Amino acid sequence: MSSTELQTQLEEIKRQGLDAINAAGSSTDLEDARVKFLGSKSELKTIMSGMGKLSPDEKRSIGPLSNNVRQELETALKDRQKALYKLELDKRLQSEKIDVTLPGIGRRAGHIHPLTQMTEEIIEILQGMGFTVVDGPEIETEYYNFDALNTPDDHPARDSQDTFYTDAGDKVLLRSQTSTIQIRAMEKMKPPFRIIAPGRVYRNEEVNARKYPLFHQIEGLLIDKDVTFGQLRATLDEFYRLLFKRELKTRFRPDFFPFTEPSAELDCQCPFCMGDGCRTCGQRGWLELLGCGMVDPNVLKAVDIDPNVWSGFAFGMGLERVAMLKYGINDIRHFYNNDMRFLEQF
Amino acid sequence: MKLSFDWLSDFVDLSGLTAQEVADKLTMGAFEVEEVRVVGADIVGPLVVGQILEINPHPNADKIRVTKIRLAEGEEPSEIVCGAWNIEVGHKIPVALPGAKVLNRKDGTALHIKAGAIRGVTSNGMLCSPSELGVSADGEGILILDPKTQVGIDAKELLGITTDYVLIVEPRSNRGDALSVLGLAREVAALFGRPLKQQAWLEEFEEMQKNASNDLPTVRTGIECGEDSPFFSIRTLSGVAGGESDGIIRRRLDAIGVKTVSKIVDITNYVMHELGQPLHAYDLRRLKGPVLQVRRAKEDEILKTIDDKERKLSDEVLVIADSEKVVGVAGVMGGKDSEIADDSSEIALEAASFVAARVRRSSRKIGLSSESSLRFERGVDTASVRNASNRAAYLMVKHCGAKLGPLSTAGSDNVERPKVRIRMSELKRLCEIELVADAAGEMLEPLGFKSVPSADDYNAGVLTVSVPTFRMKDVTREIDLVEELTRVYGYENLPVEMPSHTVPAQPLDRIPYQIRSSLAGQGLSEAWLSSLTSLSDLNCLKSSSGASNNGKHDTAIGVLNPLSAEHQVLRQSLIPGLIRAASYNQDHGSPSPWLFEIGKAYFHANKVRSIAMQQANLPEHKRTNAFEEQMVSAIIVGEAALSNWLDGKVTFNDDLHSLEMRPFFVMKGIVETLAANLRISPCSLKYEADWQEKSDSHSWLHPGRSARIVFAPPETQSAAEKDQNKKKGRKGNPIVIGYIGELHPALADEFKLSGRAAVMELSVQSLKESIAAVSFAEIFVTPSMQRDLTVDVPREVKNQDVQECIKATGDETLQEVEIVSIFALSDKTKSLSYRLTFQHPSQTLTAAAVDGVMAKIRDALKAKLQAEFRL
Repeated sequence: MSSTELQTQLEEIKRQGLDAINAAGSSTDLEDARVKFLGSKSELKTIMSGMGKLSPDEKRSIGPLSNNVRQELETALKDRQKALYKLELDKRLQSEKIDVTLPGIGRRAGHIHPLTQMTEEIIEILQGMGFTVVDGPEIETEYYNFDALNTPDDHPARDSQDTFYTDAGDKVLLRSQTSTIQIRAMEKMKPPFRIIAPGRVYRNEEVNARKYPLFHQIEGLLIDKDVTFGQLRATLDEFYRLLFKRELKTRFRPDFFPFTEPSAELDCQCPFCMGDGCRTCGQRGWLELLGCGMVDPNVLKAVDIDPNVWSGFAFGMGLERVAMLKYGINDIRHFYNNDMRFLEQF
Repeated sequence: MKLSFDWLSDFVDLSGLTAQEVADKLTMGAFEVEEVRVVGADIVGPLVVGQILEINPHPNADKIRVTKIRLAEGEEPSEIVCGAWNIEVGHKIPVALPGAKVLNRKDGTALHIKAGAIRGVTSNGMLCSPSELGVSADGEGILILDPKTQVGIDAKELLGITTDYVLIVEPRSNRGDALSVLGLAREVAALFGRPLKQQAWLEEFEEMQKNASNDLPTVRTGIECGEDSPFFSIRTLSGVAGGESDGIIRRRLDAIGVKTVSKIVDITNYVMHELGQPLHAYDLRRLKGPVLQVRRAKEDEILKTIDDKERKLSDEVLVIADSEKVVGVAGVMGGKDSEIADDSSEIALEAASFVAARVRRSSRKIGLSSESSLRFERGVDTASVRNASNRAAYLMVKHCGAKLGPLSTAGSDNVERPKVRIRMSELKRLCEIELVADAAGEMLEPLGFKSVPSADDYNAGVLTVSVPTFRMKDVTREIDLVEELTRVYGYENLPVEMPSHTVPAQPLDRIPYQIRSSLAGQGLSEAWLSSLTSLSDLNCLKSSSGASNNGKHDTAIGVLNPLSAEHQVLRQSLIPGLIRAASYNQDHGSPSPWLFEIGKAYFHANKVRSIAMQQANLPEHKRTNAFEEQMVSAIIVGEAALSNWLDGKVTFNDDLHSLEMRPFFVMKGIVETLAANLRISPCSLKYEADWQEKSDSHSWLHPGRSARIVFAPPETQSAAEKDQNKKKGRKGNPIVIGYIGELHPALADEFKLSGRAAVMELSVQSLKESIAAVSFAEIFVTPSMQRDLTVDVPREVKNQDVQECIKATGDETLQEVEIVSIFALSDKTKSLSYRLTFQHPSQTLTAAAVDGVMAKIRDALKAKLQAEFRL
């Protein structure tokens, strides 16, 4: 074949090739065109592989031309590929539509019990003040629950009408207060120390909206040198400010507990009526938050801590009570019914 | 207790103080006052009688007029604007002056009178109508008084308008002395720094006693058991006129809500509330002499008490008895037969001191408490008994025309006042209050403490006081005086400062928190269940073989005084509570509850030998036979999918792939994820289908769909793991972590739970012991190779058997074995397909090498598990 003929043929390949490539409406069409015009069995490849038989002159003219054709076709192919990809993608995206308002796939969320959340929040705040969490048994001896806590022998709390006794030994009871942990901690630790003890306590009380035979307390104890009653007040004020995340007025008034002296009850302004009086606070405008006081010297002596060197304060709050206040819950039984409709609110 | 403000003013000067101010002070310094109630019309002076001198038209209004009123003889008249038309010049009328508080005639609310201009004319008070003073509902015109009424006198007194306030005071168990007007008056006096008033009746009574009649019968008194009653007294009175109380006694008893009965009984109640000493009056005619005695009741003695109920007595009960019979339960209530009647004219007035614990026991024993027993239980002052008796006798002479008879006493009311000292430095150390001893002594005086001055004390900064007899029980130590001084000083006045930080907090045990996050993240909600449970719930988990005679397992801890059968024993598993909670939820709109709890189970210590031995080494007062174990347990019923609209269809439903297996495997997935979240390696957990005590202790689980979970790390541990184990003293012994399974259908039925449920119960301590230390292992960069292996085995061969065989046979290049499908081949055989991943830490594996391992694995499976290979 003459070089002119070859040139014409190449021009023709190029024209047809470009037409086919640009006319390809899908990637399959384009692949067909690629095989036909650039494939190993294509006319172009045949010409290019037959180049060796040509004269040097012919080589000089046909060589660059065929390369040129190949390049142009390849460029066109690439461009068309890109265009087709975009076209096809657009088409796909056009056709792919979902109802985004249908629900997601996966499990519903589990919820952490409000009393756990409350405990964690309280612990977090008090940990920030240097208090360490400690634990103790619920099945206790009368010694830890009463004797070591300076409770007189004829104190009504010792009565079986108030406290549950068990068959796990002589005078073995279900602790009626987390203050037992104070004693256990003081037996083990050397002052100075700061501890908090969350835990379950039991009282022989009929179930109603405010009472349940078991409930939970968080006990705090700080023993150090030069600890004062005013520091107790300051600690508790700061604690409640962080817990309720707003400034609520508190008042600190005398009360009595066998294991603290002087003792106090800390009330806070009712967060529901801000002190005006409402049903929650029984029109008092104040709600009792916790009992507290300076650790009684007899308690310190019982655990071999010298009350002339060390002093300290203790406080104990009802977890349910704080949670009821914080979340506006009106019935303590909600905490133990474990109704999903309740749990899922927290 | 209820405290009348008016009554309180008999004992302490309250001038210039409102009831609310006194209530606030008491709350902040002594006892909480829950409420202040108004008794009668809430009218506050100045309210005086005035006379109308002129009535003139108002320059700017038609319906009101301007009057000139004389408010006191010889004083300039005041101008007061008035809208009423029934008044005439010369009328005498009640006038409320600025500062007064009267009632709004429209709605009865408080109307505060101020001087001010009404339409341009200054009005200096208000002429009052009957409704504005609460004396009648008539609101139309001004109240026109008798023309003879003196101008300027107190109109409130004239009209008999009484206003009192009742303070509801929260009593305190250790302060029986404060359950009286006098007791609270001491507190008020101390807190306001005002002295207590002298009691004028005392002198008058001295005179009365001089004229006491001797012709009255004497009732002799005796005490049989001195440990129950230190002092007992009877005074006789004669010529007592009965009838109803009136005047101040009636008004005050009405105010504090005490029912009035008759003059005599009312006086005993009056004195009890005033002085805190319970009294009892007997009709002398009904007592059989010659001696009235305090003694224990005899078994089977019976007394009909004043409330008309027959009380069976016993040796536990302290009584008052005449020579024939019991006439009263000491300190609790008198007998019906000897009670005061309308015609009683000779009476025996009992005033005594009974020991608190004895009265409490009597009261509990006969199931009766009273205002009297309430006071005795909190402690009554022996040294004050005689004074209360005298006070009542005085009032009976005054109000009932009684003649005073003799007082007969038994025992002694002579009580020595103990002395207590306080270092002022201690007050400073604990409460940051700086006081000199003299000042402290003065602060305590109104409370009844007397300073005992000495030069030594003065120089040492020490105060010694003698404690009043009524405070002997609660003030015995220096710290008690610290408290007294601090509250009189005012808790509110203490310097408030944060304690300085000297101790760092120890880190928290994060495991329970991590368990909660993992389970909540997997769709389970946290429950808090009661740890007190019923015997039937306790026993439902076990086959009956382990129960002892009383139906309770030996290891269970029972409550000796349970509230009810529902709360009589401590739980040993959280599962029954969870089933109940799930069932409750199904009944309350949640068909597929998923719940978990972290909580304690309780056992007798003999269950665990090491615990029992630890306990045995403790002194007796610190020893319990109890052992508490923290568990994490869960129940799932149904699906927790947010939505199933996109779920694929189940392709297989044969006996190897049925939907009803889902609960078990969903729960297993939850446990595996939990383990992974806690860093417990999944390959170290074994699920054992059969274990020793399965049929006894775990009858709550479906026998074919349950497993014991055991932590048994494979031999090929990392160095770090080995080190960790060594540190924990673990000798590679497997640890039982807990149990998992489908809930036994019988139990589901018993608890009315619908649908298949899966449960698990794990020991938190065992989980903790299984946690591996985190240590980084190099990530391989060499290429990995995967091979599939389909094994045909007999049905009873378990996946775990196959996997363990593969792993044991494979060399160190076998990294992972994963099951990809299961097919049933026949009734007896099944086909399990696995994907095996091979990778060499440092070299590129050759196909030949992997093929070699695969061949060994096939051989081992053939030999050990009778496996066959079709592909």
